[in-house]
Amino acid sequence: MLDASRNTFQGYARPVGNPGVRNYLLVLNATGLTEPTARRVNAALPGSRFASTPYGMGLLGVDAERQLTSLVGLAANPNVGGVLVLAADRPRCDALLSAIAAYDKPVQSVCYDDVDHDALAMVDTAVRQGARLHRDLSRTPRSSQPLASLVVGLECGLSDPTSGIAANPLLGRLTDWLVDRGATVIMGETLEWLGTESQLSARAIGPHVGDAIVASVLRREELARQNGVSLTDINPNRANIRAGLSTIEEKASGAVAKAGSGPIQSLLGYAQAPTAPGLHLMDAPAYSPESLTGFVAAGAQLLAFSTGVGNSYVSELAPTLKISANDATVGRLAEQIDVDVSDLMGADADQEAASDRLRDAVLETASGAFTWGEVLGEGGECISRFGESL
Amino acid sequence: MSGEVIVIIQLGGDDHVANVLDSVDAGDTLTIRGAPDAPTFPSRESIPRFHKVALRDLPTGANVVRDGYVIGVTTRPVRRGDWLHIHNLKSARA
Repeated sequence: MLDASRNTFQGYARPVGNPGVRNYLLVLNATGLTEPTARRVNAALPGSRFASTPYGMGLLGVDAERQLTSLVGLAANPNVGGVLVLAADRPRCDALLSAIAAYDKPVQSVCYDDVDHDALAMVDTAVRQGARLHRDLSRTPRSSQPLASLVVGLECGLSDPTSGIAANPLLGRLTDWLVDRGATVIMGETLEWLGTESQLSARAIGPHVGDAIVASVLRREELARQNGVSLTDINPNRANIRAGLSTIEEKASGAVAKAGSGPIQSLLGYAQAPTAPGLHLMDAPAYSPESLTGFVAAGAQLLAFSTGVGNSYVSELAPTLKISANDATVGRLAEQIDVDVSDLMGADADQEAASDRLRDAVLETASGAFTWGEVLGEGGECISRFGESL
Repeated sequence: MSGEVIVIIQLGGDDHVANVLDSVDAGDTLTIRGAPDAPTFPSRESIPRFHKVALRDLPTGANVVRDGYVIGVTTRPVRRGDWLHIHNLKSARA
């Protein structure tokens, strides 16, 4: 049931932090060694959600820190009602558990250390624990929650000219509307700010934020140059180019339209949770699997994802609305595009009507309506890497 | 002038390019959406649907502006009504 004023949604209250729009049991695999076992556990618990890292020992510096904070962030995400942690060794597992404890969620864990390194015994123990957790979770009812408690991540993937002309500006209107109502919005994909950084910087709440935005773009541009990489063919990629995007600056100028017109509160690190409402940028890779997980580990309960050519990838933990303004794509991918805004590419375009449709889709999805990605199980989580392992 | 009338979208008032809402043949008449009083002009070549058309003549090495942002530089002279894409436009940055 939609609130006519569009100020609330039906979500799951949490002991700490924002409410969830879903109430998942998360099977969280914390070491690469245990991933096949953890996948077997997840498969034995219908309805549970899965997130994993393929790494473990030998992570260094920023990777060691970001892998842990991202795993904690995924467990802390409001859409997660309870967590079953699987890992090879007790010390790594306990480090994760002590960080998750701050969120006061039901948590269970099993390590190879606990079961004499018997993977099948681990499955048996973990499935029993997970089954209990999942059954308990199902008793949590939805209740009315303020729109201001939403954190929405913005993404565009396999863009075409319709993305920058219609779908992303519409997401920009959604951003302004959410921010006006006290909600939080995060836009990432640093490389796709290239060429627009001075305009973004001018919208920052202060020069420290603005300077950091400019520096983050220049750093990635320099990274490409140092590695001898031409962005043409990578970003824009061949599908983007075939569809009509010529340069990274053109793609970026369309991409940043997602961020609407309001002030930028901060530049977040990868998977870093915002500490204030409003619009935030996240300095993060542009590749969707890494980018979406950065938002979700930062606390986003819902993602709005525009596409031109079509892109089926969604988050495992945050319902991901696919929005397209390309009528051919909407026609071709009828069971993958959630919000059809292709009328905006017609000779007449009604921005207000399209905005209302998108707002309703956000509130309905937040209140429990499935996205196509959820129905089809296209979700995944992928924590980004920053350097080498030992 | 001949052929069909095709609507194009110009995002910013001072933009050098617009996007065509349908595939264009040489000689089609291009008209800017939402600007009934703006002069129409002919396309000089085929342009795929949603791709960019030049709104003015540009010399080699000119900044190309769309929605107020520089989206690249021309790599050869461009005439109004030309298709603008990777054959005559490149990134100024990377």
